[in-house]
Amino acid sequence: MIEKNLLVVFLVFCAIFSIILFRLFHLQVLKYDFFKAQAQKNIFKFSYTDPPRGLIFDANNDIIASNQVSFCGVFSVPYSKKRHLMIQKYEEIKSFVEQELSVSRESIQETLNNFTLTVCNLTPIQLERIYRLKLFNPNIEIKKTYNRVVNKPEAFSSIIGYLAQSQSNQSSFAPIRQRGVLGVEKCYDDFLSGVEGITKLSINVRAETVETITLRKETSGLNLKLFIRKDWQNRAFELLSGKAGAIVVLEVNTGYLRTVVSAPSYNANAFNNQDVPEIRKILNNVEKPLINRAFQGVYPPGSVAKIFVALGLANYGKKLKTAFCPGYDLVGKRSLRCHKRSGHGTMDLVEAISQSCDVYFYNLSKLANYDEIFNSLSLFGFGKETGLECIPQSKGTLRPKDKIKHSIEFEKALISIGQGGFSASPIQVAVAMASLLNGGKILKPKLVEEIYSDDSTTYFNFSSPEVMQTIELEKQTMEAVKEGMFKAINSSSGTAYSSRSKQVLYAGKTGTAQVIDLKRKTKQKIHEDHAWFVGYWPVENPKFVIVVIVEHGGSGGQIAAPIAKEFIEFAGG
Amino acid sequence: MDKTLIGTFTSIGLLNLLGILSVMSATSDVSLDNTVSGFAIRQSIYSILGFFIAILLSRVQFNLSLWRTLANVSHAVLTMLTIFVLFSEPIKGASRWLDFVFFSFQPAEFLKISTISVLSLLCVSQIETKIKLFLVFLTGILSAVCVAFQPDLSTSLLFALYSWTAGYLCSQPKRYVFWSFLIVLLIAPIFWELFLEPYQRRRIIALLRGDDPLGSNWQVLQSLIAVGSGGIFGKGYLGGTQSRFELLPERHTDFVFSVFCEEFGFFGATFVVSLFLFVLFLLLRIAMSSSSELGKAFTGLIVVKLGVEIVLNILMTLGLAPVTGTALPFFSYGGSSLMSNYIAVGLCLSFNKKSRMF
Repeated sequence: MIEKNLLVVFLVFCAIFSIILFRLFHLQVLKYDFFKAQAQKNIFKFSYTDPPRGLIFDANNDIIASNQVSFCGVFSVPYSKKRHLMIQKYEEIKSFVEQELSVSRESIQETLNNFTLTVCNLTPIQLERIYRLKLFNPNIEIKKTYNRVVNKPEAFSSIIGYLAQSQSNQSSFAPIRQRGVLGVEKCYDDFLSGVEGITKLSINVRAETVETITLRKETSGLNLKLFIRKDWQNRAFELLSGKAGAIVVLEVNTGYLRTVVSAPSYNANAFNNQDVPEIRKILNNVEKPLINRAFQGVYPPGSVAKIFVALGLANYGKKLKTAFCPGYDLVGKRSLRCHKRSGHGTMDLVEAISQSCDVYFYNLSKLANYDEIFNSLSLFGFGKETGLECIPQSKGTLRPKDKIKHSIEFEKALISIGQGGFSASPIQVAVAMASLLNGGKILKPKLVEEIYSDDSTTYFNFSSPEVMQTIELEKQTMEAVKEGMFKAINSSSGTAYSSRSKQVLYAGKTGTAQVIDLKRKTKQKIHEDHAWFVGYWPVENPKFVIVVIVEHGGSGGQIAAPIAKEFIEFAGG
Repeated sequence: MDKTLIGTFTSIGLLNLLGILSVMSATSDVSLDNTVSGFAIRQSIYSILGFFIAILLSRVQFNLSLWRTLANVSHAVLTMLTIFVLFSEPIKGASRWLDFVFFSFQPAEFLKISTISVLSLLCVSQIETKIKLFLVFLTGILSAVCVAFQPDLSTSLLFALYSWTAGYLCSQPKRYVFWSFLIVLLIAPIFWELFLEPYQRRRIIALLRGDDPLGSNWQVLQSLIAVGSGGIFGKGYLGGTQSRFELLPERHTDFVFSVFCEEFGFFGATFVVSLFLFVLFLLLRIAMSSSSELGKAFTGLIVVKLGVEIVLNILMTLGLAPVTGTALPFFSYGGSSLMSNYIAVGLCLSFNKKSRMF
């Protein structure tokens, strides 16, 4: 009796054991890939370490931009399959952080996609507080990061630019890093940013780290050496204080940019440190400090254009020995004034440059057709990009013939004195001016000399000059223009005689560009002219070109030339 | 020496060894790289002790009166201890352990054996079937009630099952099965309402629906990941991430089989499952071939006891049975369970008619 019943029991067990074997086969063989992935997801977490950003130096190896260590608290929401619960928890943590660390809601960086809250720039007291909280909560981390610090930020921000938080594109779960969004910081971001370190953390069910494997060590970013001279840059910025405008200093034979200043400027560190109220102020500033006027500002060049018109047309054989200036000239049916209403009298090219006679150039423009004038200026790089790498810049305007709607004769005359539809940026003027002094080479302007690592390994060296184009310059005209520019400063009849220097001999050309603009605040029309000055020094064997523009400053001779003089005395004295 | 005897001891010893290895793996501290834990050492000591007790017991020749005396006395003592345990300090919300100076033990594990000895006695006694069945159920229910207050519902259900099996073994199967089926059907809803705690109901519902991974079924999900990610050949000994990173709950006790599956894969798991079935088969053969009715009844009941525990535990780790605190015999960490099972097997082997030959 018992035997028979026992046999039934055993058969039942056999049946159940075969179910077990089928189930094991199902789980371990058929669904292996699925469970393997699940197991991986269970135990690994990646942690990222910020590398220090590359440093930026000036031509004399003085530091311009460096880093400051900052600590951030990272609060993450424990994982749950129910998303709404995580969002709810996220909000709770946000309020908690706000109260606990007494920080404003604005200074908490939120990333909802991976449910973390980050508070940076912690004070020692806040840091201590977080450290205590962290002891009981594995979802709190303290992270070391670097804050970008630009020395004398106002003077350098326009070229250095700033950083902003951006998601690294490697993975959507990678933490947010600071990336350059403007200026050199943006342009050379790939070199400067370095490589973030990745650590693979094995975590247990309580989210405690039980094992760490460094997959990749962080490498600090490469350093940049600029051609900019810090002392010159600071001086130039001082000279522009309270004004809107730009100063560009370019080395004649190489195209190295020694000074690039734009005013009004801003404090790049406000962006780098996420100082939200300050950032808001900068963004709302009607003076648009974020625009780098040296590269992006376009202004009618005024009399500065005369240099290039005279030289360009001489190549077409269009030269004018003398012209008589009665104070006006008839172009077509209209009468155009010279800036000196009483007239300059008989003018040759030297005097026309030195005294900036408009009538001479009206007459010169009559000798040439529009295309010749257009090509002359185009040859010097106007209406084109300078080739300066990846810094945003304006091409200025130089319109071909078919785009001109009114009288061609009239437009020719206006362009020849740098008005009408012609406009250029300070950097374009500097490059064009340099070509006159280096034998007709249109050089690519350069900001960055070298990219090198901390152990002084040079990765890139950009110091060899790059010629974009070479222009044949008519020698006689060139000498006349140079003489005219010398006389403009150093002859009593010259337009910038009052800015002559006893310390440094220099040459230059003033420009006064007439503009009608709307005052941004009051919408009133401003008729104040843009003041230009383009010059070079030393006179014998020129080395540097300087371009000064002061927006709505008034006359070039009175406003721009004195600034140039101060600068040249500082730099060349 | 007898083949059955050698086979049984070898199989159980092997299972026990694999169990110790798994316990060792489950309790090793990954951060300290310390692979031998106190759990593994204690389990080894109990194993050696149990193994020798089993060998000793297998050589004892029981006659009915000796068995009756021993069974009744030990059952009485253990019942009292089980009741006594109810007043001890609870661990994890249950009063199951009795503390001695050097060790603590679970009387309920031993009560299973004594209950089965008494049940097998009743089974072979010369009394009328109805009264016999009544006594069988009374014994079972008495033990079940004792542990039910710990609270340990699954163990009390096991006692009910032992009684039922005892009744089944010594009665007319067809009528018996029919009536018991009817009774279970009637009792089940009342039982669900009155005896099951909400968490237990949730577990059963979760099992039936197969959802809610972070709730009551979370343990099972982690166990499934452990088993499934083991693949065909496993992750290698001490290579199981689910256990070593503490994702698996109760990994050295209830879920020790998951640890083994993760590290030794489908091949290892199949081997162990087959070995368990082989042990059951050997014990059953002893029951069949035993000359005494008592031996048949006792060994048969032990087969059912071990079989049910094995099946419940493995099905639980594979997500096919609700999560109960049933240990895997010879595998899970736990001195009481291990000792009681060795005693049970030793007693079974003493009924092997060829055992006395050496």
